[in-house]
Amino acid sequence: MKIRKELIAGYTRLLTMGRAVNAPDPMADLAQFDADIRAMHRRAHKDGNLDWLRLALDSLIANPRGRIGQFAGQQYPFDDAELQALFRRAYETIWPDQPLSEPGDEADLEFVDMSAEDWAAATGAS
Amino acid sequence: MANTPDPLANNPAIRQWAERFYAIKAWTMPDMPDPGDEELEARRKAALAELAKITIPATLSSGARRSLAGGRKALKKEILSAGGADAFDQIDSDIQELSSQLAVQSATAAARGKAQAAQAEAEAKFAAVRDTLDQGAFTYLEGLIKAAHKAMAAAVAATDFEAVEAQAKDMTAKAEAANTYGLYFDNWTRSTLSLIAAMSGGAKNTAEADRSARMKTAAGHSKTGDFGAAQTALEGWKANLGDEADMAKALSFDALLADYMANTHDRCDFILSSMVPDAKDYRNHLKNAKKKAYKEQKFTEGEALLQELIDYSSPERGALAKYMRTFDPSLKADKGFRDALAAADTKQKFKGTNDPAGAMADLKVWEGANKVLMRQSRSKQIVKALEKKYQALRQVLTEPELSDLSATWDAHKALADAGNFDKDAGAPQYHAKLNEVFKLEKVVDERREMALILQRYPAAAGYDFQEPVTDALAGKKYSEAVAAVPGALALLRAMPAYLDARQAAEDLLAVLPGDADELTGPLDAAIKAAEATARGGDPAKAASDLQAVLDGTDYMDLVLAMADYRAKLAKVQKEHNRTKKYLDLTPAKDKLDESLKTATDRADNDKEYGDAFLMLDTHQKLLQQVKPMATARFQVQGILKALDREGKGADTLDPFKDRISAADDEAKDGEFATAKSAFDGIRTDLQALCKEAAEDCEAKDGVDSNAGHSLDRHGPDVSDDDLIQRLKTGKPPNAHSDDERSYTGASSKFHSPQDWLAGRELAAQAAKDQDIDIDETEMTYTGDPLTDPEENFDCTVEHGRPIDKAFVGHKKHVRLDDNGEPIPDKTYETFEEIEGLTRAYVNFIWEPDKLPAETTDHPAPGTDHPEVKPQDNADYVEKYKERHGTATTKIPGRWVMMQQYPVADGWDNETKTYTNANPGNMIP
Repeated sequence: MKIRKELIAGYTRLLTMGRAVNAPDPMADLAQFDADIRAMHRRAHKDGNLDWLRLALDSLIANPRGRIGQFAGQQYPFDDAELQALFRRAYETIWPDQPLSEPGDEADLEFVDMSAEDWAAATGAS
Repeated sequence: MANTPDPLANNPAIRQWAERFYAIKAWTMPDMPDPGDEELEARRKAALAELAKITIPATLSSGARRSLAGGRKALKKEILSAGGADAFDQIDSDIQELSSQLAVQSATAAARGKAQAAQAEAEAKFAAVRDTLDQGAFTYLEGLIKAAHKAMAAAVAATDFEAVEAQAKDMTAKAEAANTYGLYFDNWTRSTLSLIAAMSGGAKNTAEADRSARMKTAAGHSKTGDFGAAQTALEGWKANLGDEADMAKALSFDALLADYMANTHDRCDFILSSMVPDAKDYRNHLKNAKKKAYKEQKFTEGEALLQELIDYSSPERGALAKYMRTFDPSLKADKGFRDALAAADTKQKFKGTNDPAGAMADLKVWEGANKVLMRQSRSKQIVKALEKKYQALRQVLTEPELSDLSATWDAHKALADAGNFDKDAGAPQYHAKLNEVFKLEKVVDERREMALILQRYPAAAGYDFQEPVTDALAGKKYSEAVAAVPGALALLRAMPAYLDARQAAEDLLAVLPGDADELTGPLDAAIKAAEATARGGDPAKAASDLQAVLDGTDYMDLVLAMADYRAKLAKVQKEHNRTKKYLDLTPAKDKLDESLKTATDRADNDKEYGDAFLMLDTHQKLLQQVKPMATARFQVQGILKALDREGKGADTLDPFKDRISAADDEAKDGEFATAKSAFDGIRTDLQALCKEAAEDCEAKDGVDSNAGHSLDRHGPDVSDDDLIQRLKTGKPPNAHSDDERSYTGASSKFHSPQDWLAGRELAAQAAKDQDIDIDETEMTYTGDPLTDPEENFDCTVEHGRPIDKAFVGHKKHVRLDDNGEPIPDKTYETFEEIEGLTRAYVNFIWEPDKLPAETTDHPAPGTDHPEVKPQDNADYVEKYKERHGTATTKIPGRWVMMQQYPVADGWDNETKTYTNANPGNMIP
């Protein structure tokens, strides 16, 4: 099912364009991203979008090829494996009790350009 | 796609007729003069008859249509206003000129259409292959695209458009050739790298040097479009090998690996992680193939292993693996299942019968004969494998099916978790229902589209085409609902065109003279007939029937005038609203609104849509003048607030404030050109102050922080070469040492310190609107990280004017990893230069102060703690507790601007617009 890409990019940007990405080697230690992960968690919680964020991260981690790269942002040239590792850390930090899906079991989400109005009209979400 | 030229704007032969319309104010038409001079009357009558023969064809672009129609109207006014017969020599000649011009423009419009199609195809081709190109080919094709755009923008005559079409077709062919070469280039780059890895000493150095030299030579050839010569230059590198044939082997292995990764890897991965019994024999094939090739330089052996893996990973085996995923691992406790599995393995074994389809058929037979076991297995698999899909579905379904889904899922799960798998009283009783309700997943997007149509065209709901779906859902007949969705959606999709055509027809009816029964009667009948057709269940036919009537010659002129006006109004209104967003100055906004209203009144009140179109064109020109003024003013206001924040005193700022006030007065009086010039001057004169303030901000932000690099890396003083170097090597502008690296996918810079400072402050103001004060130095922490105050603020500032340029990376360099495998690096082989970006991404981040080096009595008396920098408030509190045993509620710190850089994502460098959806939190 189609999901508004910007809905998720607005949260992942807090990771890919946040505090840690300015470090000399951001991927050297993923713990550098912990504050950014907390920021993402708080923002999605306040927006009421935690479920969408969880399902989207789970889906991207389980099935990254050809689509996870669109969430890299333009600050640091993350490759797919790095994004997968970063999103996995975020997922496991925010939802430690909820196991990640095995490939094929993830929600079938297709991230598309969609206006906020169209998304809200169809889901009642923001 | 690039902007296509507007004939009204760039074709003098067309423009002159609009100018004529304006010059003689042809929106007022005199009455037919009383009969007078006989010769004059005869000439007038003849001229009117000749003019009446002129129809404006629909094939022209809207701008051309309305301009030529304006010319026709101007001629009519001249005919009616002529005071003597001798005036008609010129008028008759002008009527002939208009008539001839229509023939010429029809031919031009046809050529223009073909040129547009060819150019769109060429651009699509370039977009499809751009990431495979080397820098030379990229530059070459980009040059062709730019030249084609330039030619298109300048095209006026049919021959010009024909030349653009030929150019575009040639470009498509060149893009294909460039793509073929680009794939070879990748193949060669990786292969040579792995071959060099096995060399040593002088031979290695020579081979490396030759590789670089050949890449440069090849890039020189590909930059001129000579891809054959480029490939030949690369191929010559094999002379560095003891056995030149090794080159072909390495290339062959690499090509097969690339093909495997693109077409087979995902399926193979799935099979290897499944219950297919002999999968374990192939789990190391890929690793071993790479080892053979890269470590042992035995490319042929590696290729054989890879080919075997590809053959093993057939679609049939993929289907078997998928089917076997439906078996719960607990089934393995059953001997019957183990036997069935063993038999299936024998049948599907790759190095045996190799019949995975047959094995699947056998397992299905076993499944049919072991329903009790399978019910249990299925329930367990539903709970495990469908949970995320269930959660996603729950997010998008509405009542009544949402409650039904949740209740069924919960009931099934409760029984499955309790181990109750009884067919009638246990979890399996819900299998059929779950199967039914999950079918709704397939039509989520279609139902969303239906909802959007109904929201945008509320009148469509009255035709009840959605009813079969809603009725079936209400009755919990989900298969029926799913089956009804395509039909309902097809009917609803036809409704916008029908409702638009009906609206156009009704508008036309309102415009036609009351006594023109020969026109109004048939149109009224057509509207009623179409409505009956739509209500009868064929809105597509209704729309096409009605459109055919509207396209008839009796109505065409009026219908086209209305359609052209509406399309133009939509475009102009959007720009009008956008301009007003920047122009926060009521009297000036009123002036703009008045100008727009003049045009819309002409349409809404006088029903003169052709005139209104041309008036919109005039308003559009006004907007083109006002918007740069408004955006300059928008920035200047931000800059003044930033300078105030930085403590610049009244002596410094008051003179600027006076000039701003004077410029505002000009804008309020509608003197937009004067106001623009004044704001541009203020903006320019603020440069030195902005530079100083920007550097101060960065210096403060950079103290003990990763922040403070925005100006260093994106400031106006950074050169193009520095930006390219960062992209190609990772070395940032103003690096403190030669080996400092800061990799990026897009290296960009601001045009001016004014753009930079305005962006920072406009974001700070937006933060303030969300109760975030970037001058704050203490924050309250309650202990609930989810509800505590925000420690991040980010937004995208849309400056509405060009603020910078960027180099965007496309193809990455290749390097060898620790296993000798060629992998993409963090730096780029190919980049694209883009200019005119208008958006900047800005984020402010709260940084708690460092905890000092200190000695406390926690956890033990006299414990020494080193100085430490916490990441955020939660981290601060954690570290504070380690030292003091209790949490603190007040955290000292400061806001820093962690990032500010121009946004390249989604930018179309040809149209100079963003093509992606607006990000959230866009300013203004």
